[in-house]
Amino acid sequence: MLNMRSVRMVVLLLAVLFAGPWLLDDFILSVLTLVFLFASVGLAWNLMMGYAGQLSLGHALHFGAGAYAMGLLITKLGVSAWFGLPLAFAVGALFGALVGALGFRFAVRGVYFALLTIAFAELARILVEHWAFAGGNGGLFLPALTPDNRPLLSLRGDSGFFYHALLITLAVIWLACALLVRGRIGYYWRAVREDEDAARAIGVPATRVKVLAAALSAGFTGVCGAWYALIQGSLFPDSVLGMRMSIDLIIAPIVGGLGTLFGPILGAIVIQPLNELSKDFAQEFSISGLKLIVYGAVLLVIVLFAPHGIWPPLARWLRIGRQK
Amino acid sequence: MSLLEVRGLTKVYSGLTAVSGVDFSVRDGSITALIGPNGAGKTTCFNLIAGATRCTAGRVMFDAQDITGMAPEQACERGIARTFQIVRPLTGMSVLENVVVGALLREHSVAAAERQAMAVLERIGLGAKAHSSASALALPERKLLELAKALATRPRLLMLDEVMAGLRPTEADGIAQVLRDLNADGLTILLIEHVMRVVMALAQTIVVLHHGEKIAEGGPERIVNDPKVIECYFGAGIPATMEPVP
Repeated sequence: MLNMRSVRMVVLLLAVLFAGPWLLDDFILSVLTLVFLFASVGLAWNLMMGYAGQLSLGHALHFGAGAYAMGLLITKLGVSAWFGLPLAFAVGALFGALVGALGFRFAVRGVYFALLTIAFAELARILVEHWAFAGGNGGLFLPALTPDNRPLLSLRGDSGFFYHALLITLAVIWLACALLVRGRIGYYWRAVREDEDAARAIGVPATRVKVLAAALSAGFTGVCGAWYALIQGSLFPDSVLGMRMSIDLIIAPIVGGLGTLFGPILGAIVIQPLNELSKDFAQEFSISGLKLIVYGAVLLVIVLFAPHGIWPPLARWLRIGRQK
Repeated sequence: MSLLEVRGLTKVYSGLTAVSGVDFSVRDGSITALIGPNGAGKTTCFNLIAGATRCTAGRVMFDAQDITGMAPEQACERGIARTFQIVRPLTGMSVLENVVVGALLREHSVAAAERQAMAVLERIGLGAKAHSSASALALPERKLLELAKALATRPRLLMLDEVMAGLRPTEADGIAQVLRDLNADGLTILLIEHVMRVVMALAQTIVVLHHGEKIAEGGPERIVNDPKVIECYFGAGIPATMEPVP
């Protein structure tokens, strides 16, 4: 498992990162918060794709489900946001298990499964667009924060609060993923990823294992969606349930390295600032669309020179990882 | 007493009958061989028994229980482990990790499964390769890995689909010795094999398939002298002897 040296390294790193709000300005904090958010959701998606080998292109469904679960809980029921986090996990996991069970039960594999996930996400987006109770197309708005707001109760606060909250979320999701993939289920996921029929022949209950991957992945994604709702304060079907979100969620793990525990984090560290920089760059020269061109060009270069993501070559260079 | 009993096993693929009404049984503690020319339906039989393919008709009884149509992982849980003729290593994982997956069927802790997997690898002589990637293995080692993965599930019946094919005679003899040892420890083995030298040396009972039907069953002596077997292998009119020319 984890050796003492790497545990000490991680604790030290967390301590340094925790000091962020006293050292950095609000803009950098907000960018780092997004880095933590997309690293978390990347780790979640990676459980399903990188470990269990099941391509989901509709993870916006679970992200949006978590976001709307949190949003509706606060606006309609006025319940503490603390209940929203487990609720978002449960709602996400339920949708994940449902899509997974339907797909895997009828042996929908590979790209066809990916198409199924897109279909479900789009269905959810269209339904929510017409769901008046949740604000429909007009969006759902969280109530404005009152002056006596206490972040630890409402889970909403300034940029420093969200920075800490998402850092903790990332640490928790990372630890959960690390324990899962190093355990029995992790071996089963990788076996299914490599060769499902060969895995079943040596006793791996493939369908159950895949549904579990889908549910856990979706549950963690739901929690990230809930945080997104709290950070944004407003939700629109197109922004949290749309195709664009499904794609944004998966870029970090792909760029960082599929099937690794640090790839999604590294990917988010590269991608999110790049996103912000190219936005500035585009404004500077006031050319609309320049942002996407810069973004696309950098992605192209990474995919071209590090087809397995940037983490594996970096890990080799740093001589870390598995030495046996 | 028979551990595995197959009755009227039939598989029809849209008009083509791959296996037709095959009956045979594998005695508990025995080594039984399934032989026959290419396309005789041997691998299909394996797939039907191990649950990889659903049979059109017939019954598969394992340890006096009906396991017909059971999923592969359930059959494995009951104690049937099989290898694939076209080896299927989990290439993205190390040799040890491959075997750990099998060992995890009976051992729930990863550490215990690793110990057991290592013991299996040592036993079949692949211990030195435990930490190399499964994709880096040469064919003979891949065959051994296939065997190791199956053994790690601690089966009662081991079904081997041509594990000797493509191996040098000394390597094949090495595996044969391992199989004999395992059998002496009480493991029942059903094997598909083309290397007759090995079949003759190992098997107590031989079942011969031809065009999806069983044409002979019995001890090695009886099988090599059976005119129907000789005919299907060499054609009619060949003298009934398989003794090597001095």
